[in-house]
Parts: sequence; C-alpha cells; structure tokens
Amino acid sequence: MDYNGGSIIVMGGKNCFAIASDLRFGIDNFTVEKKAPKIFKINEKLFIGMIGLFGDISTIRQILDYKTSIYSLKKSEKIKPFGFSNMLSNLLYHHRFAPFLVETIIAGLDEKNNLFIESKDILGAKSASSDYATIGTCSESLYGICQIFWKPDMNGEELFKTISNCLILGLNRNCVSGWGGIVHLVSKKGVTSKLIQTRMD
Amino acid sequence: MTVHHYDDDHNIWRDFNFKNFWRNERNFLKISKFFLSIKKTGTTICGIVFKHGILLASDTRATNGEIICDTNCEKIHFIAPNICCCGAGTSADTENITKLLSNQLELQRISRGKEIYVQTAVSICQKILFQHKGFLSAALIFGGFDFFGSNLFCVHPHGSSEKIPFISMGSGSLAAMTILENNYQNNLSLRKAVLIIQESIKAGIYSDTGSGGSIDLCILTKKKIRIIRNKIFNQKNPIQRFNFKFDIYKN
Repeated sequence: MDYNGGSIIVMGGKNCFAIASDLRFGIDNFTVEKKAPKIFKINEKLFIGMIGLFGDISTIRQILDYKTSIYSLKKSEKIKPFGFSNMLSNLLYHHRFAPFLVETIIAGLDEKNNLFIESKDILGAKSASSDYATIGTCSESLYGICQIFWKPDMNGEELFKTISNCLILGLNRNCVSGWGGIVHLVSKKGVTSKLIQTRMD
Repeated sequence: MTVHHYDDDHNIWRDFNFKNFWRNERNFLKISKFFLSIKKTGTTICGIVFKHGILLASDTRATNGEIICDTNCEKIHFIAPNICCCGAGTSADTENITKLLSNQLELQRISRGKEIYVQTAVSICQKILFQHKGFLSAALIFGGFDFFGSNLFCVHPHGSSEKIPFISMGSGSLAAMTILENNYQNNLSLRKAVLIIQESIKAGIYSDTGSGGSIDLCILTKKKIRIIRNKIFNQKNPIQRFNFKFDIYKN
C-alpha cells in the first residue's frame, strides 16, 4: 500500500457526490510525480478511484476501458454503476490467488440520480455505504475525520468545503500521500473539478 | 478467418487466473501489507432447528485487518426460495460461492420443475471447496425446509459437512456454542428459539473482537422465508457536538 502511496475520499450529498484524491506518485520514499491523480472517469456520472500498485492500476484501467466499450457497443447505452461494480468485482476475483494489488472505490449516480458508493478490497469484496468512504494509506485516520465533519443532505458547495478540508487534515500527517489534491464534484448538472493546496513536501 | 476476442470472465470456476503469481512472489516483502487488507467477515453465525423450521442468525461486522470496514454488512445470503445461507471467512469467497450456487440451483430448479433439496446445495458447495483444498476460506451454514423437513447443514473450508440440530461458526463460534449447548431442547417454539439464538450471537459479539454491530435474523418455515435485517440495532452515532462551518478556503 505504501509502495506507491495515495489516498481517496468519496462523500455523498443530496443527489450529488464529491470524490477527492491526492496527487503524489512515488516509488517507496522517492517522489517521482507531483501531478498524478488517481481518479478516472468512466462516463459523466461514474467515477472510479484506485490506490495500490501503479502498474496494476494502469492494467485494470485498460481492461475496464475495453469492457465498457464492448458493453456500450452491444447494448447501445452507457454502463450503469451497479453493473460496472459487478464487472469490476468479477475481474478482481478472477485473480483470487494472484491478486491485483489495488483497492478501489466506485462512485456514481444512477438513472434516477440516486447515490451509489462502493469500496472494494483487493479480492473484489464490496462494501456499500451511503455517506462516505475512504481508501489509501491514511484511510484509518480519514475514517475518523470524515465521521466528525460529514452531515447528511449537503449541497454542492458545502460538500466541496467539507471534503477538501477533510483531505487536507488527513494528508497533513502522512508522508506517503500529499503534494496537493483534486476534487471532482458530480451532480445531475455536470462535473466540476478543482485543485486544492495541501502541504507540498 | 475467425476473430478471437480476449474475454477472461468465462470459466471463472474452472481456472482462476494466475498471471500475477510470479510478480507477487518475487516482491512479497514490499507488498505484504496488501494481504493483511483482505476483507474478512471474521464473525459469529448460528443456526438452530425449531419446531416449525430453521432459524439462522449472524452479526454484522466486516473487518479489514484490525479496522472495521463495514459496520452493517449482510452475511445471510439468499440461495433459493426455500434455502438460505450464512457465510463466514473471507468475504469475497463467501459472496462468490453463494452467487455461483444460487445460479446453478436456479437452473436445476427450472429443469427439474420441483423445489431443490438442501442436500443438493451442500453437495455442490462441498465439491467446489474440496477441489480448492481449503484455500477458499469460506465456512457456511445452510438452512432450508424441503420435502424431507427442516435441514441444517454446516460446511467447513476444506470441504467437510455435517447435519446437526444447532451449530455456530466463525471466530466467535466458541462463545456462541456455549449458549446453544446450554439451552437447546427438541421442539422449541419460535419465541424461545429466537431468544436463545439472540443470546448466543450476543455472547459472540461481546467476547470476540471480530464480531460486532447488529444482529440479523432469518426464519425459514414451510411456507416462506423471512429475513429480518438488524433485529437488534446497535449503532450509536456520536453526538454531533461540533457544528463546524468552514470559511472559504483560498486555493
């Protein structure tokens, strides 16, 4: 987990959600890249964040690109969060005895704009939640931070303030994650992305 | 000219994919932390036979090493209209085995035209677990009501099974078994059986660190299944004494 580093938070609000990650990519203790986000967009309302070995992250991303394209060609519609989550779980479980060393979070809005937040471990076991979810090197401290600051039914602005502050607080005490953060705020109107500043060291 | 497309989702049970094996072996020291973070439902699950059917119960904690990753997860899985299953062990394994079982049993039910026996589900499960020699760590309790009456089976990760009137499995099984052994009698009424099984899960929750949270119940009788989620709900959210309002943070 702390070979390459990183942390991700997802928070749910009222018919919207925010997903934030840090921007550091390192090899053990050496920082290689300071602009490497770990959140990838599948379509306008579906985002996936992955933490772990970067090589496996790239491999899984390519495989998922392939599978979602085939899905949308066969069915002439975009893939939905529940189906995407099952697809990813099956992919990860197929490698049960030689796993991809990646923990993932899926956040999306389905057709009726209901929230869908699920985090998975390396074997693909799901943990659905309705409020917030964290993965990464400082996920344990982020659980505590998010529990204090999260309130139900926040709108877009409040959500952005809360999630950026939680991320800054969490990354403050962690060496392997940092170098700034990026927050994507997703609602039925669209996606807004902003960069936030944290400890740059 | 035939076109082959790369799609490795089929044959998921005939061959797992071992592509990453050597990579993981050679870098084990650097990546050993990952293997601690496998989500386990190190848990307490119980089953008991009462007068009119079967009662299954479980706690709801899922742990990730020492951290609780899910305080309210579902451990009672639906397999067939007359069979339910509780699973303990590695979470991914129990979920995938129960999914596979319910798919296969649905096909059998359609082709035979009658409801399935619980023994069928147990035999299929045993065969898969024995094939994988215990590496799929899934301990399961099957309960169902079929032509032969109430059946309660338990399957251990290496593939052995037993048919018994009451059983508890998981990390909290020792604590839960004490209550069951003390209080079990033949021909229990529903109310007494519910009390006994609630006490045994509570014993597991209090004495075992891997179990906690709320209690889920599943009542299986001749006519129907009834799954009661969070019968005893145990989730006190901390009182929000702090009402933080953040000022606009300058980027």
